[in-house]
Amino acid sequence: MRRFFSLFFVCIITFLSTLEGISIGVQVDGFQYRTHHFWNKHGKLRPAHNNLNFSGLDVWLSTRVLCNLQLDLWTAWQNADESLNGTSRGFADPELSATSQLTQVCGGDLFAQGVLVIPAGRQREMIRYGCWGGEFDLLYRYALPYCRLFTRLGFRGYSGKPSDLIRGTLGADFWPDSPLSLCTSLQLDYGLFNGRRDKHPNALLYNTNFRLLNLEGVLRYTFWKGCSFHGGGFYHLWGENIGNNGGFFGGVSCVF
Amino acid sequence: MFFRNAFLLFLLFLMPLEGKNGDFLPKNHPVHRKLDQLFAKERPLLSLKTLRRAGFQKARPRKFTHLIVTRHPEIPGYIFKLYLDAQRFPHGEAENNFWKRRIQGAKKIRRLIAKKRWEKIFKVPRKWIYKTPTNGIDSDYPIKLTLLVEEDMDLLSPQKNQKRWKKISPQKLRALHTILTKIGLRDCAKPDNIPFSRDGKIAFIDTQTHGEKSIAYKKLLPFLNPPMQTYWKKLNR
Repeated sequence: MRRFFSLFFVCIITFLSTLEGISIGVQVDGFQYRTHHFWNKHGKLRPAHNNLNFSGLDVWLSTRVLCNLQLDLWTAWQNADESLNGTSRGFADPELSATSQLTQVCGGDLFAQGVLVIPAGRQREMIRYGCWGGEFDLLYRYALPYCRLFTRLGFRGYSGKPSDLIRGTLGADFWPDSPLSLCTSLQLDYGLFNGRRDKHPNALLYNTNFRLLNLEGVLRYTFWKGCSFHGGGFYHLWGENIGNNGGFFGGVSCVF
Repeated sequence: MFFRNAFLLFLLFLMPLEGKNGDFLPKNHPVHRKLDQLFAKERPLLSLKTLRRAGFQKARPRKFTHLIVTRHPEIPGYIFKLYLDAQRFPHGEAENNFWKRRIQGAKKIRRLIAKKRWEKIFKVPRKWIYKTPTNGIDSDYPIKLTLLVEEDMDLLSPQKNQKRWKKISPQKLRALHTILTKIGLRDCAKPDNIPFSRDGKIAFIDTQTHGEKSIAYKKLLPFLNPPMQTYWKKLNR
């Protein structure tokens, strides 16, 4: 039943898109991540003795339902292929978020965001936690000539095993209004390590207690009004209880 | 470090209480001594590399269970079933539980074979749990404290095995049907799990799933000749 939540929200967003004056955005990304090392709980790099090839398809749907409220839905189909443990595949826990502009501060825009994590089913290792979660973020965006700076600070809590997280992002979007733009960001997921201890301390993904500093870069080319191709990569700079190395992704996004 | 090792020693101390003592490989068994020697140098269970370095052959995870079935040239006549420290626990359970189920299944089959006096038709390997020494364990991995030691059944190759199944007699089929039904061996009605050995006996090598009510009898049909297919269907009515 839970796995149909995402479909339910897709239907809502599709319905909303039929209303006059409401825009809907769709983004589809393919991604791949490979690693054979992990950082242990003390941040020491260790061999996993197990090769992970993690790939999948991310889908974002977004709509602006009121002039000041944007709804987003993220879901993903993921495939984790491990040399020692075989293949796991399935849907990640979808996330529904609502973002609203609060005010203007120092010439920039301040937003608030609430995220609801919906379990897509029972816990599946390397694919999802399978439990409810909630997140609150404050986002700040400041425009400069040829560049837009953005930052985010938030807190995510889960019901059940996984640890709570402090989440932060610092990024810059260069030439955001030109056909070719570049976006770079540094993302921190800082686990508070208050989750239940994982049975598998060498889990390369979805460890119940993890910390990760991730660097990401995306190049975006707008080929038609509202539609663009994009491609980029990410690299895990530092972590605890998570795989190292990086990967790449690419896809297309359209706003109707 | 001290508390971790103390805890693991405590677990090892408790283990015989969990299962019957007969489930564990006796310390004076030659295989126990040889395994102790292999584990003294380096922990073979850490990874595929360390397992191969210790001399275990053809070690690779199986497709669905991810179980590693391997042999060692210095321990002829035995096979080893194990999970590596770098692997996840199978179905989230300690590997010890799987070994116990296999041992219990083998014991049930052996008792029935003896009761029916079918020793000339069937055989089942003796199985023991070997408790691995704790030296060299690494808490960054889900440590596997045991592995399963089994008698090697000296099996025919898969091709020869399939040929043998085409020539099976109705008496043997009837006896097989009795064992599968009485023990509830759900997944044993296929040549991969009940292959012929070189001495002509049928060996029960997969004894983990027992006590089940629904048996997949149909899986054996494609490997039988037409008259035996008819007979097998008749037995399963």
